[in-house]
Amino acid sequence: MKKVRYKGNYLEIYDSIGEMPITRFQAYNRFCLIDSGIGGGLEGVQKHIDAIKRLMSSGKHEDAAKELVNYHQNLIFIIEKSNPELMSFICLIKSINGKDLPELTADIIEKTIKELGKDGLTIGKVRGALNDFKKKVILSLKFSSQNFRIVQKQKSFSPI
Amino acid sequence: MSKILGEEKQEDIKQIEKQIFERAEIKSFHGNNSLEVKLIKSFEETCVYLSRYLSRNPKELTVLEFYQALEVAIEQDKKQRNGKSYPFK
Repeated sequence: MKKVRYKGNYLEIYDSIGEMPITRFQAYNRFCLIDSGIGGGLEGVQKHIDAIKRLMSSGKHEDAAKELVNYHQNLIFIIEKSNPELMSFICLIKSINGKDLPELTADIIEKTIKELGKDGLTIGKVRGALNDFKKKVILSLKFSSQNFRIVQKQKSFSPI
Repeated sequence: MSKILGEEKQEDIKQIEKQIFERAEIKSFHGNNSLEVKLIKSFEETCVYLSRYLSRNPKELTVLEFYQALEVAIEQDKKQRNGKSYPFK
């Protein structure tokens, strides 16, 4: 377990596949998937517009329509102030100031994001922790399990 | 760098970018067949598959335990299909 300290508070974060529950990992993967395909911030808007322009100019109208729906979802996230990147971070938290996080529901995730923001947790700390997790846990998972590769090849279930 | 070498690579870069973009598949995140739904369904299917081999609920396992159990279950399945003996009876 890794400790992240910020403004007098601390978070305990899962950083080992031997400790992290599979349901948390599944939720983390889900939000990462949404973040990579839709995005939650303004930077995603330009990405979607560029993609739509390119798809239209190359005659891929069906794909352009799919991208338009993703763009629409991105705008909804911005309006609702939801961010899949932050949601994926919440999935990694075991406890806040020694108090275990309850089972993750949409309400709990939203409430926790608000609380952490109020307490002064910065996006830099969040991104740092997410990058450390990706490097450490995903690599150890790749090397520890042959199945991971088999399942990835089948594309039925692919931890990112 | 290209200016120093006296070469202009911008056109080549654009061409390669276009090729990469054309190969990339646009993922749908909307509706019954969305990528998110597929991810959730495949996880649930994997849990059902594992529950045949475990006395514990697969959702209570850690990541390491889950993937190790999956590995063992797939190996057992393979051996059963090949007519070999069941290894963990």
